[in-house]
Amino acid sequence: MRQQVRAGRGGRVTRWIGESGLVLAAGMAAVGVLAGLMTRGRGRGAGLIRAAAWGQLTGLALALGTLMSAFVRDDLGMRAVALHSERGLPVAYKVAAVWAGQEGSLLLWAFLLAGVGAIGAVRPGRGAPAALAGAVLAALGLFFAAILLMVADPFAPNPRPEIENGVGLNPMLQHWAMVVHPPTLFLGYACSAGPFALAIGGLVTGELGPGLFAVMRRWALASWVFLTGGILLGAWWAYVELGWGGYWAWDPVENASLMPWLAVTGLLHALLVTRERGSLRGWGAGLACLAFSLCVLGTTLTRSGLLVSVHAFGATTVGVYLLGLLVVLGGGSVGLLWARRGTLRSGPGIGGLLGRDGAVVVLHLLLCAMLVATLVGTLFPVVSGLLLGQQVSLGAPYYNRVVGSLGLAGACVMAVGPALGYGEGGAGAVRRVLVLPGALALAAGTAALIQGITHSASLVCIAIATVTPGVIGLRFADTVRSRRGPGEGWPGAAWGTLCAHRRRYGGQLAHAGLCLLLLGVCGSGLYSAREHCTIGRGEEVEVRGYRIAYGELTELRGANYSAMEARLRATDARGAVGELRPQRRYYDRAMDPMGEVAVWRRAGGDLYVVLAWWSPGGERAGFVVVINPLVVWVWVGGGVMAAGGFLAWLPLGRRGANNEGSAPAELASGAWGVAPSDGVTEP
Amino acid sequence: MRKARLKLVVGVGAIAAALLYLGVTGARDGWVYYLSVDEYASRPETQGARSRVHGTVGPGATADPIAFGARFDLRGQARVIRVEYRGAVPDLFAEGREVVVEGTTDEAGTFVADVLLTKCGSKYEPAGAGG
Repeated sequence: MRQQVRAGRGGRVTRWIGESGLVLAAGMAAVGVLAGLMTRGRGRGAGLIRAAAWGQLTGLALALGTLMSAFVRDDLGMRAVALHSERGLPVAYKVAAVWAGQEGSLLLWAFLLAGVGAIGAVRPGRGAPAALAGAVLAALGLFFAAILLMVADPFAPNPRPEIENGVGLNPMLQHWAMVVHPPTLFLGYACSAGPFALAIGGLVTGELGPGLFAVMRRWALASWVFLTGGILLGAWWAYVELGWGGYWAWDPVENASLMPWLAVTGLLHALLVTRERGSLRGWGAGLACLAFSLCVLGTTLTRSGLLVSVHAFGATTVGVYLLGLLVVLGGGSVGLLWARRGTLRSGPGIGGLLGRDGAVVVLHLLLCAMLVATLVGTLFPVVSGLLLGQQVSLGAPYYNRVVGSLGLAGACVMAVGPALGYGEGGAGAVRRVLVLPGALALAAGTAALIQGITHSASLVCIAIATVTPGVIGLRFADTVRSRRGPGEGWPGAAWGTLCAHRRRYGGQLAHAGLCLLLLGVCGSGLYSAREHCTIGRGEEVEVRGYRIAYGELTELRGANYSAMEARLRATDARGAVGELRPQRRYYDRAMDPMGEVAVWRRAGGDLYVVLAWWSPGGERAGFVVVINPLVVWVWVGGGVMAAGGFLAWLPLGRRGANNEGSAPAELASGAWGVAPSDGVTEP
Repeated sequence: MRKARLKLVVGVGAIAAALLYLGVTGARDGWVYYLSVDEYASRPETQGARSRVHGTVGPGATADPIAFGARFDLRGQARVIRVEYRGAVPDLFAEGREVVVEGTTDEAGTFVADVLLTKCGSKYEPAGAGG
């Protein structure tokens, strides 16, 4: 009894501290908005915006810290803790439980957004666009702080005191990937607010100079790396936790993370061309607005209950506000872009579709088409309900066909794009440049056909995975050759080239990673096999080249669950042996048992086993066995992509320092340098 | 100039046609109706198409985990359909449970399902860390 009273008082203090943090954040955000709009960065304005941004971050850090500590301390007087955590939960999952609920995840979102605002906050002398960008970020912060204070209170008291030990965290979320996936993805979302705010600042003031785009690029790269990592972690989680044998199901929530990724990918390529040539500024500004709007859409889809999904939260009023924000963002961006269409067009045009910039435009069109197709598919149940009076959803075959085909076309552009020069190549030059990739593709395709691979998509994948590194390697060799000084060794010249063009080769590393990912997707998507088998204890069965022996069934106890575990021994065609221990877990606080899959991973493919049932005493047990060729390359390729993006982002070297330092001067002059041709751009 | 414009129009038209073709064939392949048992049983046009049907498992359901399958009646408010499911049977499959099945009706009029989901009976808010 006494303990309960104490908990109640502690709850009030927690609530008071947390809400003070939110109030501080809201107040500081309001100061930031006013300072940005009124001073436009002149005089003390920049310092004020900066201080307000850090103040906002401090307030949200206080709120988030308070909520986290309430979860870790099992403060069950709070609604969020009682509904998403339990006493027996391991500490890492208690932290993860903070963002398992709607309020907590909105608070995390707001905190990360404030972090972007504070780190990217305007420095004195950066000019009006950057000051306005600060105001835009502060306004977004104000919006989220207001929502948290008025609609989705993370510190609300527990309305059901009968829940003594907490409802518990959904067992599906009790996995390490779910501890890091949401913050990673939200970081990607938050970083995309950087280019968006800068684009709005530039569009409002009409000052769309190279310095602005250079800063946009850094945020876009950070966003891309985190989005890539976040999507990958989500896919990994789905693979090992949902137990159906795949990692991507075109679920609305997955789509909601893919769409911003597509937009940011396009944005990065637009910014590349803008840097080299000064063209595609409209694409850059437009895609920056689109990317962030899609991040808000993603939050809306998962938080509004608009769509039925395994991950989505129930219907709430928050969705309405988010939808309102989305309308403002979308409408505002389109209006601004339209108003500034003259300025955006004023730079150099693209040099025809057969040059590098032309290829980037084609890529943009393909990415946008993928985006629209994904959006149509995601919203189809809602739209069909309204139009046909009948809910229809578009399943995986739709996405695989439409988005998959467009993606393959985009990857083809990626393979040959880097071989093209900037500007009007002329058909002759293009033919000369493309002879080699064509020959490579043909050779690879023929070799694959001889090996008995006939599926058209896999042939295209193999061709892309051959041509891309081929083109990168040849161009690299060319650059090294032209760079090598007299008496300089080849390794030294190669290393020097890599260092001097770090950003370019970071990008190309990402391309190589995408090739690996494509091979993984192709192998696991087209050639995966699924079998059901029942095995007696001590017996062995043969499943598609694997011999699987079932040893025994044991019962074990985890931190907050008990489990049945089957011990299997698999032997592949070459005699390699792997141990597999699939489990069925019964969590203390859940009714539904959870399958814990066992995966034997090798370069050639995964053997994936789910324990489906067992006879009393474990004399016999049934397993779902999935064989997923090449799936490991999805993870490796995705990791390489993120690493490439990170390498390109790293603020190292002369060029990187230059960019940051010279930004104000460039912003002020607003002049575009002479467009240098590829290969001599980065001294 | 006129020739260039013609080229552009033809190019854009060809691409639009290709996209339309992709979209239409893709939608045809991926089309899944989402219905209750009553809606499904009363709409003949949906019965040849792949559908996701939700209802309650009726009495006399037989689950055969060894053969990885189950046969049962799926009941709505007024109508009943016969379901034959092939795959791993969820633990919580039992008479009276709300389930969702996905598949198509065969010539004999049986709904052949390859997806069987028991509706979440847990006390959780349908939560997900989302994003």
